[in-house]
Amino acid sequence: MPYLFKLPLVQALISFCGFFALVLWRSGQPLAAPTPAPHDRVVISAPVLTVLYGGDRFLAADLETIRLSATGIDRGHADTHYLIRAHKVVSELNPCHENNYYLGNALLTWGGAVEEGGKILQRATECRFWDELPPFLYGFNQFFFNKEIEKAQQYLEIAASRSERNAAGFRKLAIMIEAEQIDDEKMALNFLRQEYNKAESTNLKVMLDKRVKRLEGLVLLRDAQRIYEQQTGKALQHPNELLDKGIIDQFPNDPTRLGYEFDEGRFKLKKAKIAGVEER
Amino acid sequence: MMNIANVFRHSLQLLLRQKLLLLATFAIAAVIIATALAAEFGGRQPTAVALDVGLSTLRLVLPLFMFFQVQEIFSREFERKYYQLSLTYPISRHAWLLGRFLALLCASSILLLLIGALLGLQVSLLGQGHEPATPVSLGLPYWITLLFTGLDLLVLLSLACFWAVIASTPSFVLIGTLGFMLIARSYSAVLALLANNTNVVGSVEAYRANLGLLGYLLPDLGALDVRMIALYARMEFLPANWAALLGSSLLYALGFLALTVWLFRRKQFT
Repeated sequence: MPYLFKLPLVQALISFCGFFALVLWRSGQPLAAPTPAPHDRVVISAPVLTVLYGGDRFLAADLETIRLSATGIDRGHADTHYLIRAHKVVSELNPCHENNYYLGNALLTWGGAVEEGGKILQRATECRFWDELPPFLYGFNQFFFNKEIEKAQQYLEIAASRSERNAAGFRKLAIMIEAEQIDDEKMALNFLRQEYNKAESTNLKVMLDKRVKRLEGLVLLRDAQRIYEQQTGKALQHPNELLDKGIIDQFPNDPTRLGYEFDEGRFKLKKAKIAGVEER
Repeated sequence: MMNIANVFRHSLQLLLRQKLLLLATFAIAAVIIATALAAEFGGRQPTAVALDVGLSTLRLVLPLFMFFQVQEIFSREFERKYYQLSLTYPISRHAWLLGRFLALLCASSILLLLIGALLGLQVSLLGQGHEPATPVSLGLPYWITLLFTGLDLLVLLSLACFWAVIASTPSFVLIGTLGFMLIARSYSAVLALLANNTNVVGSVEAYRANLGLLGYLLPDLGALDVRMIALYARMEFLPANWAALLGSSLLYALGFLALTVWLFRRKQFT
């Protein structure tokens, strides 16, 4: 017997047998309760990303945009918490990135995160000093979502100064929003439908389709309010009066599940409440 | 002078006999494939994203190509003791080193121009058939971008030769120069980004002050990346102090080259 232990192959065999026996025993043990999977996805901050991509912030911005557009929206459901942080990081790495501000406007601003989408557009306006689209989008959003007429006009003027073809149109819009002569929800709807038609990826189309449906709901509500006020001759006090009068059968359904609100005698798109990510 | 030319010619022949063409083919293929893939994910601006990723790949594969050539022509020679023969020729060590350096510079420049031309051709082909709002510029701004990239490569090449002469193992050329490249290319961008990312490190100001000291030790290779002038076709993106930037990087490369010559003259072979 002691002779056997001197053979190295026998020693190896005994060691491996012991190893397998212990693995088998361990696999029979009850597992510790699994820790719950973290809820949020990781977005690495811009300085660290720069180092990770070999000091190349442009490559980092490109690949992060590809990542967020490929994985941030899944089966028509946008991970808004992740997208807000991812778009912000890309806009720090390369504020001029065109896909970033365009997707940021489509997914964040129209997905309820107006402030966060606006910041991306502001940075793009600053960096892309020749491009009329970011200031136009920002100005329009300021008017449509926040009713900040002055800021909207300021950005529409920037857009007009950058464009030869659309300058007159932008300036006209800036005057019309002050006079409140404009059917803003229908204009927004047209604009969003155009973006929908131009979108190439199916995922993005599904997302934009939801935002178009959401806006169609708002158009329906405001039209109903107009009819109510014409019929009764007084201002609408409570949205339920529309149901009582039989102008609409039911309130429209918002596919993004954010819903609408009735504030200061006017229907509005409800903004997403995002805790913990607002800039302090 | 004749001696340098002779060494230059022989070194080029030596490189061609080794894996130069194979590695060059890999480098070209990497850039072209990465560019084509990036264009697929380009969204609203396929040409800009394709050019962007193509330039990034070029800036990654060309240094690797150079480091392998430096290993081939310096480290292998020391390792296999070929210098016992090559240094017996009636040439100075000065000429021995500079001839090899110029051969490496020549091979890398030709590859840079070749990849640059192919990338430009590929992006212009990708851009056919649709008119983006802001097209990329493949004219003068593009070639200026390549010139700045070439200077970045020159700094890395002179540093790789420096490591090859003083290091005792060939892999140190790769590791040392890659580490240098990473720090020199990223520190200025990290410094700028830390200004609005205050939660990444504990005390941002102290960190930035220390990182700022790196500016006196390393050239700012990150600022040599001027691709925005080509990506967005706006020359305004060229840094205002570009002449000082070019001059400082060139002086840094020349300084290291001179230091390498000095060290090589005093090198004691065992």
